Amino acid sequence: MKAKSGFNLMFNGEEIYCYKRIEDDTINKKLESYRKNLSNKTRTITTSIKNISCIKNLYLPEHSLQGQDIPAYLIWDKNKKISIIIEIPEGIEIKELYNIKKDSYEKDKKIVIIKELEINGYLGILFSTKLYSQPKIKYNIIFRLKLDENEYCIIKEFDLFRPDIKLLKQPKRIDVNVTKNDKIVVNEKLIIKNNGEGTGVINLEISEDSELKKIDPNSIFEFNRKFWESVEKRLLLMKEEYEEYSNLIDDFLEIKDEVPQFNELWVKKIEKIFDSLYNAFEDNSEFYDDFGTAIFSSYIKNLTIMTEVESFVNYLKSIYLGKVVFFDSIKVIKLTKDYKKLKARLGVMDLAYNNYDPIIISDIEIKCNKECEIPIYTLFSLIEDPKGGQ
Amino acid sequence: MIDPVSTTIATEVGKGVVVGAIKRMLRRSQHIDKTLSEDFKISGREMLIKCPDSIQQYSITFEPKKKHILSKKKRFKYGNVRRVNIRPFRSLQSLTNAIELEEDGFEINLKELDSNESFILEMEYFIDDKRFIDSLVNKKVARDVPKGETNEYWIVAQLKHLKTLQQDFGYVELRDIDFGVDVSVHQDVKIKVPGIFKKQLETIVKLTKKIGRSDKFNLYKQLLSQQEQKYGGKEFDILQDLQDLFSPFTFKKYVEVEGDFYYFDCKRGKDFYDTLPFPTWPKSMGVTSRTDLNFDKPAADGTLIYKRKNFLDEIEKLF
Repeated sequence: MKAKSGFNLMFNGEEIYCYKRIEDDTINKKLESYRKNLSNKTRTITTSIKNISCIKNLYLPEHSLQGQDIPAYLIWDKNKKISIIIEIPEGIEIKELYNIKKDSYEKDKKIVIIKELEINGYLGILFSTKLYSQPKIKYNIIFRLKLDENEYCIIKEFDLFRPDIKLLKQPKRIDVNVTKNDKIVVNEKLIIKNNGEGTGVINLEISEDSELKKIDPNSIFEFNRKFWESVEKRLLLMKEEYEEYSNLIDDFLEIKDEVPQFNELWVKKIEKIFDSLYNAFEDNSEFYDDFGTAIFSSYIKNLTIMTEVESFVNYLKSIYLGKVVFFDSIKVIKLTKDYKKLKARLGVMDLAYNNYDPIIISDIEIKCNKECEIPIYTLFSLIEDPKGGQ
Repeated sequence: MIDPVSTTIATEVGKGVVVGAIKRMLRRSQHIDKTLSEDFKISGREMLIKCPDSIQQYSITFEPKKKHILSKKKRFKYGNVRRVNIRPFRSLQSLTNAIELEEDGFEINLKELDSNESFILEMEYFIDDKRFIDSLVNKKVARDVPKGETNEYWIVAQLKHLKTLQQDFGYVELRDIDFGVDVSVHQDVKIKVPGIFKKQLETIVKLTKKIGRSDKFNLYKQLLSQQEQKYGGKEFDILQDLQDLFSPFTFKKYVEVEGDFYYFDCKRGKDFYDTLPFPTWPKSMGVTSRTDLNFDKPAADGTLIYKRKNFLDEIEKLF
């Protein structure tokens, strides 16, 4: 049986039916039971936090990427006793509570009653969210604070957003024409659009059996090879002098052989190596100086000003004006005069490293009027939302 | 009454680490107090955690119990001390000769102390458990901002275990807790770089490739005609000026931190989207903000504002 009534509350001058979304009869009974326990004199007031003098702050961010944990906290006058009930919508969970006595709460799917705090005057909350089917979703969290004879109802609203990358068009065949002036003309492109509000990081993941492969452009490949050769030589010599950092140097040198992965694990691994290096630099300034010299001199020795200019040009071309970033934008594919098959899919990630279902791309045949390398981003075109752009 | 919990909410995450570390810090402080109180009367104590370096700073104010201090040394062998400093209340000048560092602590040469004075003793020790700060403070920042509305990133700090800061002598305070926000800048250069400048650079890059003599001649011709245009000959200077915009000294002008946090530093963001071993053009800038937490201020919130319009105006001025 569905609940017949909820509580009518005033919100922004308008009477709203607060428990409209609660359909579970058990939960309504629990709320009714809670309300019966309140004194008959209790009045429910929907208000903003400014109107409750003993509340110093009730904070909840107004927006967040989906899948991210959201912090909230309540600070009030330590001399005032208040009882707290938090109503959470479906799809949001309370993950952690701070400053409450061990397991001193009661919880159902949609409400949490705080029973006993360790120190009066502060409650910390960490909500967990997930990836939702809608790219943007609005939620309300209701804080019910019982103070003296009043029950204050504070409604906090926030948006959860994410990228929503769609492949709108994909050709079966692509003909690339490199003009006399070396201009790359692509007759048909893969058209993508970000319908969401979050930044999408996209990666063309090429299958092992694809005839066309993703490679470093020649100039960068040469730079990479020479740079790492020189770094390796210098760092291996340093291993003898700094035995205590021998493993760390090995970990750092491993980066050169690794294929970058499009996931959080890889990013964390690289971060860990750099954090360990940073700690080592903090502990030992001589190691810092020698390591820095090894990297810097290898870099200067092999870098030509053209690498810098080329990287800038690639940077400009690979950036789309919508909220889309190309992973590994510098990579190229090598084309021939004959059609070669590209078997790939499009990996999508957001800035919190949440991975989304990859976008399947049917096999595409690509050829060029002459053998050449073309940057991967030249195969794509982004349609921008007219409202979009920061 | 509501039914007992169905799925649990964590209420004690990391508490063991925090309690253990604070216990060790207190044990050391108690030893120091005990040794000092043999000859002195302790009047005040304070414990601070300096978060960026994970350091416990313990300060004691004290005065001699008797009118004359015995001419001896007092040993405090309670672990490697990072820094120790003793100062009389009146002059506040450090008595450098009164302290001698030892392998497992330090000693105070009492003959350097005036028996009519009161003193402040400050000691710093490294906190051995690297997990301590993260177990005590929940640090969260916005990883992205919604399209078209704002360039404001929220930052929040929450104490997880407030009670552990409450001690017999008062409260432990946390200073300068670091928060890193990655501010996206990837579209900003693109928007303001004029197409003609891009074309000039492209020509320069092409000239460096292995191409036939006639192609090279054509490119030279093209470059020469471009050199007469607006940015001709200034390409590398403009690129250098653009790179300079991403230096911490310049970029900090386009960042403002509001609320309970203050700006500390910024650097080029970790661009893991490009796997090049040299720095190219940052897709994000990493901005560090800091805040303090204590028993009376168990949580903090703030906003990092990226003044994008001003940054775009600055890029535009280069062209």
